[in-house]
Amino acid sequence: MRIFTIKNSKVQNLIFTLFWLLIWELAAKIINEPVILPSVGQAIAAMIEMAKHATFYKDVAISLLRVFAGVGLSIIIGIALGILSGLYAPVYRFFNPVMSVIKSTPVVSFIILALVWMKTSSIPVFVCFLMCVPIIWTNVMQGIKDTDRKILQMCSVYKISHFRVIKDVYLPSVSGYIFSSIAASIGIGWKSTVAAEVIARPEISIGGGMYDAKIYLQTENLFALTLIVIVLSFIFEYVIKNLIGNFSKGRKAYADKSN
Amino acid sequence: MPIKVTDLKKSFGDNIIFDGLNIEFKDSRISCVLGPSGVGKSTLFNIISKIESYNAGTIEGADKKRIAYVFQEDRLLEWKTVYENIAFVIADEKDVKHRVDEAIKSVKLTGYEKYYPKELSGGMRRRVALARAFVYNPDIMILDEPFKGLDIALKEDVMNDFYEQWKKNKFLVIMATHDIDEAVLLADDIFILSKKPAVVKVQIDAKTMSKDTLESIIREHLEEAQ
Repeated sequence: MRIFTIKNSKVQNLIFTLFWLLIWELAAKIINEPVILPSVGQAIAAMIEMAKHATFYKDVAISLLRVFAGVGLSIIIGIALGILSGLYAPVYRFFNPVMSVIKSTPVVSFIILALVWMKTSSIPVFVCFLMCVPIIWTNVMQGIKDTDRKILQMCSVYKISHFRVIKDVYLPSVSGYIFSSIAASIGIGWKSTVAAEVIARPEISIGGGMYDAKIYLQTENLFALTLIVIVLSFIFEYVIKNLIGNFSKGRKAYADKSN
Repeated sequence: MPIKVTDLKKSFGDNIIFDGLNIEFKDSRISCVLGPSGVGKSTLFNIISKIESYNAGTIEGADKKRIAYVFQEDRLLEWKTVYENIAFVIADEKDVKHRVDEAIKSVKLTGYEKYYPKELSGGMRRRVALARAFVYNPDIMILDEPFKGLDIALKEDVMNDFYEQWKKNKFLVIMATHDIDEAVLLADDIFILSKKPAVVKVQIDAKTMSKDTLESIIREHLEEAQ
């Protein structure tokens, strides 16, 4: 029954994806103007054409590295600040205004400001970091606040050291929050990195290619690059989710065993 | 050193729990606290173990002491095994492996070291919480209905094991229970608390009388305390 359901949902996903591709293809046929809306075939052809050039792989690799760096940095700093803010109210009050401002500021404002502050190749990483860190900070802090008070009381009675309370109680309690915030950050990380690349135009980048596509009215290239970003984002998310899955499998084993 | 609670006052908003409670738990003895539900037994234990604040009064004899507390709920770390849960409270001390193995043996959980709490029955989880308290080698042990949830045969077993463990070191024990048999079997001193604000209605030196007499005295006072 379970196998049937999984198969069924996979088939459904495929059918619905094909349906939306068909809509795209039909719309392209009706408009019949590749500059406005290229067809699926034209976008894929553009992608194949790009893939013939070595610079394409360089662009993709560097953009990927930027997302890695931005998301990675936000994970490290977001977790550290989230734990401290969750544990100590003054730390929370110190960082809350900054995080609230970051959350409400349009990404483009940061990109333009960063253009004044730093060299273009660093801007996408900086912007990606700024967009992701509040998500991780908020989640980790919530996880700390939701940690079972009764367990903490037990630790207090048995005089467990702060270090071990953080390592053995807080971290396992917030791991779910950390994982879900990382998964949520990946999509946002990609979007903000590429947006920053389009505006800041560092020498090697996917965003730079998108900007050129806009300038030279190569809409099919824009679609091709967008598809590549979407696919990379999916792969990135899939890998991270699997890593997370493997990491937490040990801890969840007991639950599976008892069910 | 005994634990001496003097003129203790505690309230949660308008709900006054203690308005001048005086009680003394003697060293090297097992003191059982009985009383109606909600009278404030757990609150008193939480205050003594410093996880609850109080409004006025003094608590002497609990400072700088190693306190082990078996809570009403097991309070186990679900992501740690039985062994790890017990070792958790002495991880920075010496001879951990031997002490944990002994504690596991004393609650008859040998073979279950690698099990996670979710894989255990309610009674087994209680025994893990008890083993965690034993392994700590406490000066004071606080037990809040520690044998609740155990079936009769196992309860007797665990109670006997507890008593054997206690006899080795004779630390100060404070135990809350609703079960008169537990009190009769284990207690040196029995305190019956009456309704809020709680006061000690009667204090009994349990070892000076026969079990039957003790049981009937407890029953009589408990009925009056309701």
